[in-house]
Amino acid sequence: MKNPTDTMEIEDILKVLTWLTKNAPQLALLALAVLVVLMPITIVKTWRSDEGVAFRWGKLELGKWSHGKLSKKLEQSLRELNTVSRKQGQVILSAKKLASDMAYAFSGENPERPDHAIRALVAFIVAALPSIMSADGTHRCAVLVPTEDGSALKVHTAFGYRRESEAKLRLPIPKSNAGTAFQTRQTYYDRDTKKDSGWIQLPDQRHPYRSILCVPIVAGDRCFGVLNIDAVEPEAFTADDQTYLELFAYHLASLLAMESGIQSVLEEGSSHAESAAGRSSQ
Amino acid sequence: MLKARRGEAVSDETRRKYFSGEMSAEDYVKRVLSTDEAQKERLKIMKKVDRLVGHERAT
Repeated sequence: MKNPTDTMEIEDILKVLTWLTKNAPQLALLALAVLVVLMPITIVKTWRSDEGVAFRWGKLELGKWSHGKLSKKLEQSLRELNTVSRKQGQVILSAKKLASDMAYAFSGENPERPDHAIRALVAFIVAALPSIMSADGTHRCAVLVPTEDGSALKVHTAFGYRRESEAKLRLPIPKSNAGTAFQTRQTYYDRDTKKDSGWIQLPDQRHPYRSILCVPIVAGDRCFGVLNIDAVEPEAFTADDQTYLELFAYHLASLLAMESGIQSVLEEGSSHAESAAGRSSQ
Repeated sequence: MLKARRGEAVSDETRRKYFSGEMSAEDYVKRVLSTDEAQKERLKIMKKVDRLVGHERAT
């Protein structure tokens, strides 16, 4: 026999279910309204917490970040940002100074010889670059040009090298990092010289250099040499450093092209003078 | 010290000294880079950060 109480309960449940189905959209809206009201209260509570930033929903803690950790992270990020901005500022300042000095050097205002002015401008680039690279520490920088027979690269202008090393240095083409950059006309970045066989260590160098970046100095179809920079730390150079170096390599290309033009004019002039002297003595 | 022209990092006299070989490239670069005015502003911001971090740690 059927129990009348059971029938009543089933009927009640069915009634509740029917009511819930009918009013489902209204109920969903009500739940949403409650959430909207409760959310800001929860957030305000968490941000006001003495311990730091905690993400809680009621008694349930979803995550926690103490003030110490947060401020340390923020401080570190700001310092990194400041370093990047400082370097960028120095690059802009150096590039502006170089442009201004180039204009001065080849104007009538400069009393010095143009080839001397070119040397001074190249020396400015080579001395400025180590200061504007990302990694702090000791850097050497050099403009390398091919030797007369074209088999190796020699120093044109250098910063941070010993005088004796500068004169003796010969980097074979292409069996050296700089030589590879010269031959391929592509930037060559040796991230760790300890792992690379193309690295030529000088016997009298001051520091063990671990990173080396070589940028070819190209103007049109001609490669005039290589802009070479070293750092004591491995993987010391960033993508920004490479861009800065390439920017200055273009300026160097203009300067070396002018220098080469002046030299050929001078050589032509001296050969004319020699032949004229020969004619007059006959 | 001689005053630099408007928009120039160093004075004409400093530049003349460098081009004539009286001043080394290293000294010239130091002189040029020390005129980074924007860096002074950035340093001010970093000092503020230091103060805030110090205050936050103290409390």
